[in-house]
Amino acid sequence: MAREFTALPLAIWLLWLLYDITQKTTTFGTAFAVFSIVCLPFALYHSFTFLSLAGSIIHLKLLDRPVSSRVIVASQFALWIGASVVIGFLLLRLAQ
Amino acid sequence: MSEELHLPARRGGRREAAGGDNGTSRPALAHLFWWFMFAQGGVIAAILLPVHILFQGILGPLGLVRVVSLHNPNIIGNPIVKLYLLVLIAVPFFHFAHRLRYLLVDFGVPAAKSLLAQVVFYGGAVLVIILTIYVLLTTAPISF
Repeated sequence: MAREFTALPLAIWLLWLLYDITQKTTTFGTAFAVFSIVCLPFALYHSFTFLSLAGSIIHLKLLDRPVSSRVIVASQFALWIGASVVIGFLLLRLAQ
Repeated sequence: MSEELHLPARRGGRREAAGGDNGTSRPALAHLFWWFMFAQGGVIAAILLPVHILFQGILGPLGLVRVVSLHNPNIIGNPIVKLYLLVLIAVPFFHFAHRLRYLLVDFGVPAAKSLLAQVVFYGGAVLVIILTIYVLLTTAPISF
């Protein structure tokens, strides 16, 4: 049930982001920061649980040998970290 | 409740290809589409959302770092940024729609399993896509 509930704050966060885009000036203030602090654990919980399932869902063969589920899960977490670094860099770099 | 029980199912709970009784094999394309969108929404939310919440939601508004403004016409007008925002905002709603529907099921709302509930939740996800496209196309002209 907790995993299902994570969808609610994250959906509201994305709708707030969409609403902010429609405004002339940003609506991201202290209230949004507080709400985001609440949302971040839910987002991390979703990421951990969803990416951990990759080993059960994705089945790969390399040189006719099945890739172990631990390697697949590790690759998903590596992808997550890599994407976060790149996006974080762009969010800061494009502000210059 | 297991993940298997939370996968988008065809009406009546059948997951196999349709037409099995009369010897023909027809792919369940609708099931394939919703399952694909559910999975992609989950991946997008898992990989992209935490860093956006951290930087744009917490560090930026608290003044700890200077984060890109989505009100800068040079940024929001870029077609790649618009496409990225469309994927970031809209696609997870296919995942969220399914999660929220099953949240109601877990709360003991049997109506959440009905066809009407499916239309409301997944239709809502489609509406968010349309709304996001409208917002992105009307807020700033596309510029390179």
